[in-house]
Amino acid sequence: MNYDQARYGDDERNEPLLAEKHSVTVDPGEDSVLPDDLTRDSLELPGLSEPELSRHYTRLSQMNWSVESGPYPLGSCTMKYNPTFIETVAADPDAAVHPDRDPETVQGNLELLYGLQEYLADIGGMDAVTLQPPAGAAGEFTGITIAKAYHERNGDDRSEVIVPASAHGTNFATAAIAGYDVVELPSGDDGRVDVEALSAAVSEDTAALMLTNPNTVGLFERDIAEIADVVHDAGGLLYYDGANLNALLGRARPGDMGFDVMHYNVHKTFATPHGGGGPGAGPVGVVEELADYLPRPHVRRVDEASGEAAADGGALADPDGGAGSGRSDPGPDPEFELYDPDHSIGKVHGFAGNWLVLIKAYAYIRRLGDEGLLDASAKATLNANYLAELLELDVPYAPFHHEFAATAGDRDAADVAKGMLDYGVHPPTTKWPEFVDEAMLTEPTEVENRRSLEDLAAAFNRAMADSDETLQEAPTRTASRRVDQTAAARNPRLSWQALDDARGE
Amino acid sequence: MSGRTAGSTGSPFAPHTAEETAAMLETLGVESEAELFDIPEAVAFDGEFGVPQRDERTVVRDLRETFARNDDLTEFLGRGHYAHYVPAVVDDLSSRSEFLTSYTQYQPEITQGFLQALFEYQSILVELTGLSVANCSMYDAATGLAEAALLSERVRSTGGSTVLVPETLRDGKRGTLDNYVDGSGLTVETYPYADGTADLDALADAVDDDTVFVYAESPTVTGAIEPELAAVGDLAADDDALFCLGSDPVALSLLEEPAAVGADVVVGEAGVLGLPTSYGMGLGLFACREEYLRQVPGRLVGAGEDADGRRAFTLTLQTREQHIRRERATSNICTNQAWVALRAAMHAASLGPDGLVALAEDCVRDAAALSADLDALDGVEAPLDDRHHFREFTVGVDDAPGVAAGLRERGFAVHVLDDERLQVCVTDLNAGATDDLVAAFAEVVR
Repeated sequence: MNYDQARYGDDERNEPLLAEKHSVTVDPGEDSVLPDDLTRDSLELPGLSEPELSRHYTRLSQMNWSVESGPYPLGSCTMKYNPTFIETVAADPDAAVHPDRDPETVQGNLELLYGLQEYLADIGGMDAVTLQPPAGAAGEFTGITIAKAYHERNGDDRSEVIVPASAHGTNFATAAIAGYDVVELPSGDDGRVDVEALSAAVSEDTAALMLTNPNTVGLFERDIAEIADVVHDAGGLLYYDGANLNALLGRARPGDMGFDVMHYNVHKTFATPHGGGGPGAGPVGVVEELADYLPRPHVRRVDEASGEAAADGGALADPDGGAGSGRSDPGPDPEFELYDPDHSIGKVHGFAGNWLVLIKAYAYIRRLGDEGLLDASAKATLNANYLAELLELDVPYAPFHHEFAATAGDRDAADVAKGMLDYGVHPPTTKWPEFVDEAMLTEPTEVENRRSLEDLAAAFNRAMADSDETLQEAPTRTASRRVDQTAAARNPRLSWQALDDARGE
Repeated sequence: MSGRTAGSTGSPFAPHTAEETAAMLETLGVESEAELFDIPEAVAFDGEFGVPQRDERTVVRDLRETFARNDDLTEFLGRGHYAHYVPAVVDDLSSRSEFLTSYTQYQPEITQGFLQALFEYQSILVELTGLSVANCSMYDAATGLAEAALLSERVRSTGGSTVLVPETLRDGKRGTLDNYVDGSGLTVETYPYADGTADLDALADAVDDDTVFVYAESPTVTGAIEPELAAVGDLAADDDALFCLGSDPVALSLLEEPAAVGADVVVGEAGVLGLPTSYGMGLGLFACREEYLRQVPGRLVGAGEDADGRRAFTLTLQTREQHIRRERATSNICTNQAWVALRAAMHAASLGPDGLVALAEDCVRDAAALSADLDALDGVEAPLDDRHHFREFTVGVDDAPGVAAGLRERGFAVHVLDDERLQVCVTDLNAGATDDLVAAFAEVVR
């Protein structure tokens, strides 16, 4: 497929900036009831009429690639289709309540949060789930902070977190921000964790091992039970990075593999839109032993608190039990309440996290149900394998699941990616993980069908067949040609105020 | 079975026909998708979650019923989460799927639209703060404050380690800050308030050469406009501590410019623009002086050129970030609140500077009018301090929980601060109901 992106603009630039269209300066203090010393002297901002504004942003949108434009196979990002009905649901005005409402008056919100906690606990094989972390990295931070609090409470002074070399950059950064020394674990020859190397790395200083499974080249860590034993025998906890959970939906659960704490990326696995970089949500699941450490406040059923319910958080009050029956009748007593877990780590967000995102994840899970979730992992893995089969590139590590790392061999993966931009697809993640030469980490997700996978494969193969010269010239059909990122970083201009030519025309 | 076949129960968003699936499986030489999985039996899951598949209509109906369980109260609530009327054009434009369903702009050539929108967002914050660097967003005000404190540790010129925050700081911010600094060498201490804003004498005593970071808010958590911001900034500067101001873009359009009062960093809740009331979901404003550029957390969009010499935008200074710098990154943030930032910029641009200032002025006037009306009631005192207010203020009554309960019976939600203090917040969204609120107060306190 060929592709020509919209390109509004002239020889100098694309669509002018808001400030280049119409800028207004006002004196905010002029008509204020506030004394002069409390107000600012001037404010200069764009002031556009609604028709101008609509045209501006419509043009910008047309100079932007999205999942609805075409394949977006960024490895580890799970760019799946975001069903539009979840937007409708999240826009319900009844859900638009303030976080300081008395819990008794927002039973609907609490019902949804409780239900999502339960769904995620079941899907991950965990005993309790917090929905407060606003993104995956925030989930990692929450999970590692829980591990830290757990060790501290046990009088156990541990200083290290072990992270495989192939892990997401957030894992390293999270461990460091939480105050741990990061111990990097080299990848084994087969692309998996080398259990011997892990055994040598763990010690009484090990607070946790952070692991993604399937790992960042799509391989299942087959030795996971042994890995869990090694970490647990050393007194450490096992942390699951949920970035790749889409591969396992309904087929394997981190809790069953021995993980103690995990985060979920609902904007990946549960189809909430990525929004150009966010918002996402990064709920964290824990085993029973860590449940008292979850952030405050936590949602529970009132009868759970008073001990009337069955034991163990996991299977309590299935949100699908009786599917809606009796739910529209709140009755005199509240069904759900907020409480502070006994050893809570405190807060990781000012309020309750990214509420609108959580609604969408809940709606998506209810739409798919067990069968849909199982089919998502099936088709995600089928698609990755089928696509790899069509590529004229080597895929050094197999058997992979929802994603694979192809190698561009003696070509520059970043150049190949630029070439693909002209062929109607978004390229994969490039040059990562680093242990694969010229890696092209590709995750087509379940939302592509055979034809779009063939288009995607054709884009790979065409770009690979292009001459070096052609690739270095690419892209030619996008709103901008190759952007000189080195020069942009050398001379940072981060606002229109910093542009010489920004004001006036 | 595939999703498109009638009666199938696969994912409705996996587009494979049964024939396609069969052909793909045949190409791969397997009988079923299950054969493609390499999961040891010992850890395989063959149970069920017990979640039935539902059609779209049912899910929409069920959730509508769920949310209908929320009591329909007119909220006069603030304390860090505020909403103003969001024009329909913002909903419409931001919902364009090219924005909504895109991701981080790793390939700038094909994502110029979003990059430009984020560059514009940064620029609006640069104007509002007077500081030359604003990032693409933090998660919310609390995480923005926490990241700002960590910034102070990286750029400090002294050996100090104390972070000073108001004693009135909300638990959501304080708790988040405590967690973020726990892994650093910083410790958090508080300074007192007097008459609703910073107690400058006490703050002067609290700031010393161990102080690396002084945080002040204007408006404060109870809506008071800090009258001596420049003095707070001077106290911080005297001991080479960073001065971090917490505010929001609507307030900043009217109140003193942060750079003019010596702020080194500005954080706060930028979701006051673009976001409806959303149970605390936010948009973390983060701006700072140019000299801290290399230590800024989060994404930055910069302007550059493409191969044709045309202006183009790109994520920049990425060597600060976790995907390059790993454990030496300035933050672990990856996914941020970009789409909310897009909406905030759209909202600001649709208001224009005059509309934004008018909105801010209403936040002052409406709060003053409502507090005067309440203060006129017997048994009610409002506000409880001698400050100017923005959106909200405290209210003194004999039995605050009892009054709040009475107001709730009459359809209103207000904050209960303690046994004798309530807090009330008024914006353009509830300004039409203030007379009813005052009448309800009158009945309840009678």
